[in-house]
Amino acid sequence: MIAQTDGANFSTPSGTRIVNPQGPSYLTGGGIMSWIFTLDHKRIGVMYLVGVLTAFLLGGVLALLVRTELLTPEVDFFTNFVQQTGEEPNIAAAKDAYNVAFTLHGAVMVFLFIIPSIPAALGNFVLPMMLGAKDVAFPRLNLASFHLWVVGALFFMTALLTTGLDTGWTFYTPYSTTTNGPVIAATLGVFILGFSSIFTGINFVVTVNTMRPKGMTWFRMPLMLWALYATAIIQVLATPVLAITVLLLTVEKALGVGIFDPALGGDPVLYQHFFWFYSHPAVYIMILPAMGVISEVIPVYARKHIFGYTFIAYSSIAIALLGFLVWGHHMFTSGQSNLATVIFSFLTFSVSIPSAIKVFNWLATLYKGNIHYNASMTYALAFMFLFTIGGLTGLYLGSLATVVHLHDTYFVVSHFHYVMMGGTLVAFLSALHHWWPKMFGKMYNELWANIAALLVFVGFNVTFFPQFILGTQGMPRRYASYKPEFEGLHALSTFGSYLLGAGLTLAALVLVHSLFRGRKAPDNPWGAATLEWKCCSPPTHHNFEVDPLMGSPYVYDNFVEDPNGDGYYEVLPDYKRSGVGAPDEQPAQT
Amino acid sequence: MTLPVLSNLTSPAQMAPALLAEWFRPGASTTAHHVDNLFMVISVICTFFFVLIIALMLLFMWKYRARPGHREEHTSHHNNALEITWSVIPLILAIWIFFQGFVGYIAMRNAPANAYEIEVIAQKWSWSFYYPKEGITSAELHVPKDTPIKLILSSTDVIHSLYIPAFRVKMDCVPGRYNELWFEATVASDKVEDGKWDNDDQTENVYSDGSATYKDAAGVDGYDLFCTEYCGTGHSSMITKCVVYDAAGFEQWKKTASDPRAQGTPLEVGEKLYKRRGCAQCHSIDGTDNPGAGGPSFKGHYGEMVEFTNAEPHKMDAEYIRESILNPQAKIRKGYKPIMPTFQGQLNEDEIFALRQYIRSLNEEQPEDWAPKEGEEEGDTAESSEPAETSGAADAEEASDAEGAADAPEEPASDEESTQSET
Repeated sequence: MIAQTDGANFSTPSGTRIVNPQGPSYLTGGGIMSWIFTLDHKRIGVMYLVGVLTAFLLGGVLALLVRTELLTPEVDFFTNFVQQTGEEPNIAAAKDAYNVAFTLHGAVMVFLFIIPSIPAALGNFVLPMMLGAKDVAFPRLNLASFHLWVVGALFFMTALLTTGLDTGWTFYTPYSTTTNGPVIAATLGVFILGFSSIFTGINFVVTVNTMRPKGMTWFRMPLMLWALYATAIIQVLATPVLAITVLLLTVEKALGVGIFDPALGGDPVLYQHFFWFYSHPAVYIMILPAMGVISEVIPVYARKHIFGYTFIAYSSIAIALLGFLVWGHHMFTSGQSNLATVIFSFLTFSVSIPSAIKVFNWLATLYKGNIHYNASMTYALAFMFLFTIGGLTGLYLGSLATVVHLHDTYFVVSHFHYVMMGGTLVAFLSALHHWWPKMFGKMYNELWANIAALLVFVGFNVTFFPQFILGTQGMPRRYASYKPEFEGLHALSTFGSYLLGAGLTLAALVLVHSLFRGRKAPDNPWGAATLEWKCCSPPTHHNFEVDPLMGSPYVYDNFVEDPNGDGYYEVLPDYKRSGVGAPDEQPAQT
Repeated sequence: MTLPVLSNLTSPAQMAPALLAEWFRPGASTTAHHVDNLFMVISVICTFFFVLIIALMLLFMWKYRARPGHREEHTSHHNNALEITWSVIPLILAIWIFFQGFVGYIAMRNAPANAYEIEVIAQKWSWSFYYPKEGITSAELHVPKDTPIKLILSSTDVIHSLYIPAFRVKMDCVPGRYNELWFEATVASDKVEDGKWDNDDQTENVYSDGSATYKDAAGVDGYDLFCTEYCGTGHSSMITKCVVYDAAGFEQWKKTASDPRAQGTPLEVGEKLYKRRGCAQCHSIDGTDNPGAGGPSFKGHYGEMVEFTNAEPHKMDAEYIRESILNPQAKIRKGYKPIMPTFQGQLNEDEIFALRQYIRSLNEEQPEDWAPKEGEEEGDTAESSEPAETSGAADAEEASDAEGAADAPEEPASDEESTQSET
């Protein structure tokens, strides 16, 4: 299994060209069982990728169904999906079907797609390689995490699709304890998925702590690792609270023990405290890895060292910690005390600063760069645009006077879609295009991938910007039907969603096409300096046949574009060997 | 406190650029400017930062695009002075926005001591507004203008949330606890010039979901009142109106509202109750039954023997209809879910009588007229509404007790509770 090298390092006029040893791809060899029971973090990452993309497809189709219903003020589209009982369409049943659809959309997207998307699917693939390691610290725990995800997802989907869950993804009591939907099955699904998330978190924390190569100090780690580390901390600390909450909900519903139901002596607002104590930090589980991706992608394509490394690294940790202190801002109108409300509002503003810092730092990274418009960069720039809007509109919702008016309206819907979809999903797409050649060893068509990215960007804004206006004008959330005066903006939003759907479909087609027709990917197509590019594409089972040369992850001077258009290769400048380079750019001996 | 407080400033309409004014509809309460002013100022701050960030981004994207002959230049990897500056300036702005929001919020949350109290009972999927001094229960919120109104919110089933966009107020109705909300309306709803807040121009837009909430509420000039906490099937039609009167108009309304008999024939009152009190969301009037999520039609079953899952078969008659309204879980029709909420304390005997006449009329029975009250001439309603006019609580209660006992001679002896809301 030792890979053969296709040549030794050789000298060029500017220095010594480094040639990575080539070997058999991790994708080949072995039957189906060798995938299901693999301990290879890359295969687990790929299986996660297939899983989360399937979930995303399902959640996306549901979103389009929901948007189609909202094309007109009346309940009409969903009457096609329900049984007719008389001559008139069965509106009540159609409304129930709509409620099930938006619940499924939210639950699938949150629990099955966004939370595992970047950390579990892409993080699993790149985290060990960024460390120059052969695998994560606990490969078996990693596999267990994926198996739990599959079990949880199947459980969740069976419950949701067969009987119709209509509580919204938040399972607010007492609605969830009194509805006839399969709340217990669904919350047990969430419980299992939570453990999958905890396992991944523990694995990442230990891997980053113990498996960094010699010379990679904390402040020489790629920022993606800081982001994944901060995410993992939240996963480990917050997810158990969700697990306890859904267990309490199950206990109440199954055994009639009064915890949240006022009829049994409980308090429904207590449920909201428990739920958001997890789910607010979970918002940062969703966005932090996205920020990590952007911190990797922007320097590579701008050919510039990331600006303000330390501030970005600390801001990830600050977000992770402050994110635990702001859950009460989901309950500004629930009747919690005014004092608590004021304190939560203040803390909410504090968490906005680290995010602002990152945006400014990314911007400064572009300054005097040499910006290459690869699809991955297009998505990253779209992220900056969309995340800025998402972040700034958070100011309206953190501020107490304005949030009273805007809470539970389309303004909130739009805000979190700008952050979750405009932020996390777009960053996920950026990451997917960035690491695609490494994952599958194929190059996709840049032009079509860029067209898809622009469609996604335009479609996204047409879909969600009108929703800010709708919310400001008083359109409440989760309405199957609405006042006719809102029709124009809703229709615009629906057309935007079709455009968005078309863009995403095109992006998928471009990537799938590359698997069959794509050019073979070079080892380092983008000239990135992080360690995962210092092995062959796709990597071998053990990633690195020889230990990669550790350098600064953001210095691109040693990466020279191949004259044949075959990506970049690394040269070791001869002058550096004599020890002239700046200390922080000097490659550490591994 | 010497810090400048934004909410003391003048009306937002003057501050706002035209586009934002259109975007943000005019407020109609004394506290709306707290929301509107801050919204405008945050918008200005956001626009500034958005334009700054995106303009720089686009500039860099153009100026430093990869092209033949262009190379990146090395600049410093960090600059503490710059980074601290762009951390501290947003921090100061954020604290300032927090402070302004805090000031406005406190004003919006602390009701004046003399506020007029109305109890709000939310349930799937209708609103009840109970006026304790007058003993009136209404499906819409009727208030006088220029008077602080305090709503005491509760729910009988799941969490709902009361939201009146024109007043910029919102508060959850949580079962098991009482929440409070106050506002003071400044513009009578029939004086609203910007028609966007009411439905008058959309009367022909009949809502197809059978609830008729919008269509019917359009008969009343008023501000929209939404439920904004998801509460199930009928969430999106749990909408009513807030009608704002001048002082004389409010007195007039109280006079009429305190007596169903003043509002028309039993048939008219029953039809109105059917539309406004949420019956229409589950019960059709065209003979279409909605098993499962809905309820049986009001048409085609009167006088039938009906079967139950938890009781002996019973004829659908006056007694059964009354029980279904006041204690709906006592008999569950076969094939339907036990989802009907109780209207105990929310409908008085006159109203139940009117609803029954409405159901009878749908089944080709001759509806009856109001039965005369004791000591009154038939159809004479002037007497009964007088006590409400005095608005003395003691008088009103005495009157309601007296009438409650004498009321509805056709009905079997009514429960104690059912007399509560009567006048």
